Amino acid sequence: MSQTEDYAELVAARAPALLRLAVMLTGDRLEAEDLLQTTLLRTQRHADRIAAMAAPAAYLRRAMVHEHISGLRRLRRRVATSSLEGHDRAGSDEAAPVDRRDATWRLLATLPRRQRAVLVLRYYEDLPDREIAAALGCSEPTVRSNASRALASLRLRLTDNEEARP
Amino acid sequence: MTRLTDEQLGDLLGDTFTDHEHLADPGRAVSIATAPGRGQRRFGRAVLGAAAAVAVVAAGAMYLVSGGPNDWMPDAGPRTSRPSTLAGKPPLPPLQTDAGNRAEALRTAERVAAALPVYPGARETDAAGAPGLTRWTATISGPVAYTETRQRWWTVTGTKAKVVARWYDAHAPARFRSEGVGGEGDGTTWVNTVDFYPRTRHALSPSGVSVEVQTLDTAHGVEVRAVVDSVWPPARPLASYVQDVTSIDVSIVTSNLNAPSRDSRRSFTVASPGRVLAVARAFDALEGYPTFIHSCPAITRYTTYRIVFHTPTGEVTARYMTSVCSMGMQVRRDGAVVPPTLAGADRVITALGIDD
Repeated sequence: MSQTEDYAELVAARAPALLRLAVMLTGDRLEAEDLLQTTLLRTQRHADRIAAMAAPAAYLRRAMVHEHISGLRRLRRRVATSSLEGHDRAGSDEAAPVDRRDATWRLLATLPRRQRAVLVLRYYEDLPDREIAAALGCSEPTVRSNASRALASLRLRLTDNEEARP
Repeated sequence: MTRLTDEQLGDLLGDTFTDHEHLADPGRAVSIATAPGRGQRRFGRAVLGAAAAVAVVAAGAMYLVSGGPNDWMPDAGPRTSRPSTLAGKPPLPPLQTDAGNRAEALRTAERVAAALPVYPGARETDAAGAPGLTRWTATISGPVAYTETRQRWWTVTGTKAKVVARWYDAHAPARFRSEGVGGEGDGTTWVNTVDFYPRTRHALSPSGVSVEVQTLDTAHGVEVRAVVDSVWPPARPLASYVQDVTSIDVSIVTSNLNAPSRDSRRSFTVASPGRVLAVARAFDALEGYPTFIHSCPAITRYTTYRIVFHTPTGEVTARYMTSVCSMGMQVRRDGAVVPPTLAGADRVITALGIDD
């Protein structure tokens, strides 16, 4: 099997996971599909090289994250970040966790891309800071700093949000 | 509320991300990754069909049609319709927005999906209930950034995939026509496909809705997946329309790449009010053309139309080149490109009375 065929097999196998990662990074299904396409368009140029890598999946993930946060990709849509007030409801205790996750999802859309990427890679992909740093092309302290700021921002806004509920 | 610890926040984030995994359709992902020209914006089925119909040998070159979405200019002008100022001139069509067009496409996809015929005795399931087709890479679509997709899944027992496909071929959704039973395989798996297109769809229009039903024999019965693709047109800004046209200059250049000596050129002016009105009306009725990249056939002869609308407020130029590669009509106002390109340019040419 040629390396080009290896690459084709690799991207077909990794595509669902990459799309899930794209969804987490962008917060939007269509944005995510667009990001996946753009990433594959770029990586396809290096198909042979990627197929020969020891960890091609990590490379694809890194390419996607870089594509998303590089700022080169001008997004046409932004996830709606309307006030949370209209979305919150004084529901039952059973609904509270769902409400909180919905609120968290919306708040994630307000974070800077790099901060969100750190949270996605750490809490969705379960990557250690070392690998997150490699994916983002930064140092581990920078990863920790971004994570800390992102968590602080979410904590504050979630608290404010829930205290404002009737 | 007690402030969450980092660990609690981490758990919450993990749950939140997991909650939203459903936004990532695995079939869609594989389709994106394995579509012809992998990683490139894909080409709608209707246009592929049209390309095949002209029976031109594909040369495999890739062309970007109408620039990229990143090249778009923001919409200009109001979002509501305004009446034309001069009597006898075409009324301005209601101005659209991308968001509105997308929402309409989504509603259409949902409506069509809900009304799909169901094979007698089929049990509706979800993607997890049809693992064979979920893994299959043959999902089709229009230009992804402009396509709203809805899927439905069923399983059927006691029959064969081919039988189910033939049944769908004979039971097209209302107002759709079947393209017949086709299929695709990888040597070990064969998926039957039935494509449906609206009976009234313009052959080369990239917008609109289409349906593909796939059936697959598996150990637990026949898996059936219906994919509804609803492609929405990018909105035209106000600057893209021609109102109060006084006259139209047309130039037509036919190029023969194999025999340049046989190139031909002609030009004329349309000044008759009736013809001017008809052409302006046809032009204003065109829809935006979704951007995509696709395989381009070898072209040896093509015609380029340059149509200049003269109006009291400026000059609008529409340029269109006949080839399977360039089905969009580019618009410029006073020299500046006004995206998006437009679909259905042949309607304007017909209105001009040209059958070249």
